[in-house]
Amino acid sequence: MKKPLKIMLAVLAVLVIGGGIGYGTAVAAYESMYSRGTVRNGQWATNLAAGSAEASIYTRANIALHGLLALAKSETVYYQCLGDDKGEQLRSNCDYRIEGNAPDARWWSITAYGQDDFLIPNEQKRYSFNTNTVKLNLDGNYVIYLSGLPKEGNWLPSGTKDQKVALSLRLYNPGQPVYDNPGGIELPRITREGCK
Amino acid sequence: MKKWILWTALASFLFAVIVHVGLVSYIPYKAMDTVMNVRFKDLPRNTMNPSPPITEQSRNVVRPSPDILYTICMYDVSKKPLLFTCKLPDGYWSASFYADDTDNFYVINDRQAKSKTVEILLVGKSTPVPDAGGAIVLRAQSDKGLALIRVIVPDEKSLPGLIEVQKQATCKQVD
Repeated sequence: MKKPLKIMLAVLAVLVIGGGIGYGTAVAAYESMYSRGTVRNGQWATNLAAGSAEASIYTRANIALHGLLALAKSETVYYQCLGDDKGEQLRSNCDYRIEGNAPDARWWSITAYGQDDFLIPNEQKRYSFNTNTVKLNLDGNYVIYLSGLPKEGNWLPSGTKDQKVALSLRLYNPGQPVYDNPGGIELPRITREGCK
Repeated sequence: MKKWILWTALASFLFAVIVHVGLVSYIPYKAMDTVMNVRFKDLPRNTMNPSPPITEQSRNVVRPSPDILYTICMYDVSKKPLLFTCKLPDGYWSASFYADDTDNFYVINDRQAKSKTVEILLVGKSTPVPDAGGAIVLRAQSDKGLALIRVIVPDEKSLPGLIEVQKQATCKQVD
């Protein structure tokens, strides 16, 4: 093979192979829920470095894409749902039961988002339940029904379009136990009740 | 032949590392730039901009909270400092400041505030600090960035009063 052709092939190989590997591994790393600093708590995960200067480049990129303008942990701790009780991705064509008690925080909320990370359109204009809006049972616990179809009680609509659904749990001014043991505090349990 | 393959593989590896680190590091700056210069391109700088209540139509920033009333000030303190003045509502309130790399470098809430009116003087990275009066002096992590005021809306009937509080918040350049 002639030398100029060899050089051209080598440059092309570097651009395609190196660029492809660099791009692929970058996307995989920042989209991973398990980047450095991420703490798993059952069906939820949090990263206390979110929004702060201590965040790794991967956490920072992930937050920029999926939670831009997050508050630092001194103000708010954010948990993201990893999946249902079977470890499956939440979907709008399935019904879920979200059961828990009030977390240790000044104010909390659970919000449903579509796969585009925006609120899910619905006639009720209901996108979340929080400290003020959730109806508690007599025992002080709550049950929220995440479903595309109307439910009695705390119904959180997941829309009519079949898509992935994400849940964010926000804890504003959380108590010290949240900082001491973010992977061990009691968080809502999400149970799949059925799919269409 | 073998030497040629070895050098190509080594160069590919180095290029992969550069692409990997470069892309991951660039995303936060790109995301903030998109929000400030594309999504909010029509909002004036160094002025407080109250946002309407969050709904499914709110698509400027990912994962907005529908329970919070936001007020935005996109700042540029490269030439003059900015004075933020906010009257606090009865419930939760916070003011948070973000640098151009997404860092939330300062936040204060209603419980940390020393009075019902909070004044914060935001000063550029390398500009002198003027007489701040009684205001909290804050050195910006980057000359351009974004400040967000958050107010929790506990129920529908509180909304009109909170919108009034939202409208009273100001950010103004000072000499």
